[in-house]
Amino acid sequence: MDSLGYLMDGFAVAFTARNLLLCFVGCLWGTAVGVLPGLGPLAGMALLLPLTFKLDPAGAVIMLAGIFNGAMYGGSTTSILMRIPGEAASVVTCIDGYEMAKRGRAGAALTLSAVGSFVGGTISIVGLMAVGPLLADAMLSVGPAAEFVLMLTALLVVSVVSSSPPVKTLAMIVLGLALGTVGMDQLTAWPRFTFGSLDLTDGLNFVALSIGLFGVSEILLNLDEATPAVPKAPRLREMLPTAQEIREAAPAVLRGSGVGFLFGLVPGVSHIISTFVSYAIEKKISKTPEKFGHGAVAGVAGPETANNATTGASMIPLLVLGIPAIPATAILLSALLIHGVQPGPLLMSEHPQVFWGLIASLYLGNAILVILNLPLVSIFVSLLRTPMGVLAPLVLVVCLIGVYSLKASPLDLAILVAAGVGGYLLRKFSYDVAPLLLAFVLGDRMELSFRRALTISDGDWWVFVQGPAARVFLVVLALIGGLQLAAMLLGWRRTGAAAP
Amino acid sequence: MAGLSLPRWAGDAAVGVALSGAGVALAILAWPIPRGSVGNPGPGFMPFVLGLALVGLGLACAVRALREHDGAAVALASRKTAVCLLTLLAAALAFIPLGFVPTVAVMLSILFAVLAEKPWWRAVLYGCGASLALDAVFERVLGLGLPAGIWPF
Repeated sequence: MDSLGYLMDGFAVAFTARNLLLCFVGCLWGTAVGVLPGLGPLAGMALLLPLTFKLDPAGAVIMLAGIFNGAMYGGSTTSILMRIPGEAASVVTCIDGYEMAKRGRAGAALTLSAVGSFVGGTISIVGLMAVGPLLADAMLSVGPAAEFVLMLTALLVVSVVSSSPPVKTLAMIVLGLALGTVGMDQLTAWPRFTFGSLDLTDGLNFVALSIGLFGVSEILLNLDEATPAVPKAPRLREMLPTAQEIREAAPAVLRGSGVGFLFGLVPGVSHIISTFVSYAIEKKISKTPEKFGHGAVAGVAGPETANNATTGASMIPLLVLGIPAIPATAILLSALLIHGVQPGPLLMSEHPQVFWGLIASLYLGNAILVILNLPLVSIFVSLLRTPMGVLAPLVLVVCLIGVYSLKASPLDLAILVAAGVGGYLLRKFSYDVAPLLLAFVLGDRMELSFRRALTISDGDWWVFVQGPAARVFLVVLALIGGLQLAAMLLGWRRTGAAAP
Repeated sequence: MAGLSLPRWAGDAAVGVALSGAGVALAILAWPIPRGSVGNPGPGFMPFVLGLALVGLGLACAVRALREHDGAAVALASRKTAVCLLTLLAAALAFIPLGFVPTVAVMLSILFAVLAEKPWWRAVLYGCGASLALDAVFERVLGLGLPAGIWPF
């Protein structure tokens, strides 16, 4: 059967009444958390993750992917109306989106953003269908040594593209890997750092850690901020863009799709980078670059499209390689693992209903979001009227429920609070905690691949540079390592020069 | 919003030192675990190496912070944040022994009073109502098992 045939099967999975409802609920919740400043896709997904335990694997990932997509859409609403990005990837939209809103074109900006996101999301899914099976076939021949080098490469890419200084990001990666070593050793069953606790033999709970690091710390950080004023939502008849605006947006949407797809394949903060790159490209090739920063249509349509195109593309490393490219896909990975589904090259053949059901639901989710976002924008804006003093306590209770419902373990509740405080302090001092979570997720597999490779090769470290796949990854690794070192040295020199 | 305010470099350096401390602790705790050899690493190899790496990177972060020393300040733990954190900690401790409804009722009452600045009687009313509503949604409708504790229903 070809990809199209499998996709039709996927639609059959996604089009069941229950999965449609899950997709709709996910999109609705995702848009709400995307609209609310501070509650991004990660917190939104982490909070609802426990609810997916009673679902089948396809239903669980369909709902979580809906939240992820919805948050991307929702983030643009506050960027355009209030100049406050609902999530990090919407920062660029603030620049021209808010300027359009000031000129009375908020409705058009929201429509172009929603339609651009739909097109970008759809194109990236087509790319996922085309690239996914080919990459999966290629990955089947990759051994543990190349797998280790690949994961190391992914983590180093994250450290290069992260928003915090490289040395801080590397520290977060090592901390994440270290936290990942807690629990029973997979090869020898030796209990590491369990202190006699049976709960710890399975390792630190990923859900408690992620909800603490992103959900609780986000709430604590938001309490230090002032509450923003609530804007007026545009009326439905103001939502239609003019012919001129459509002409300006159309090529930007196509370019944004390409940029977003390419960046989605790169681990790290690809959503954020793809939007900045798309904005820079649009400004560079525009005949009227002076309009940028003053309400340029392409400055909204391009980055918003790139943002959503990245979403579909970021599923490729997750589903085909089993490597979460961004923290939100780490939550998807966790959901799949909880349901006994191991993402990787064999996912397509072993669990086709999950793989193709997810792809079909991404299509559906995009359509639902266009239908949902435009007419319901005033309802989503009214969510912003919820004071942080009311919202924060309720979110914290949901965090407690979410973590408790996993295993009813007091230890998990302790991890939640500790991760919340730790995340708050680290983020206050510009430590990006996303790499920590990615390293925590990958740590187990990295160590396993590393030790297996050495066992197979009788302790010969050259195994990591043998084989074509390992060599390709090593070249990339060397390039990234060089860049990393240069960035660190330059940073030191600049800091040294600036010091009195 | 008044809270602790400290120079960015000092906080940054403190986090770096704390990371180094965590690295030292990790290396010490990993020491008794069989490390194997370089060619055949045991279960203690990776944690030990990661502990040493964390010591180095934590110190590098601290030194970087000391060199930057730009005079910027970071507001840390406003009154609301501190109350929120302490209430969450207490709720996490009481969640299982006291049960969902009583714990969340008290937690929400305190947080509504302090964070939303509601009068005490109204905060308690909202807190109790919200805890019962959340219990109904999560326990009865969604079927998630929540701790009963001392709550008889």
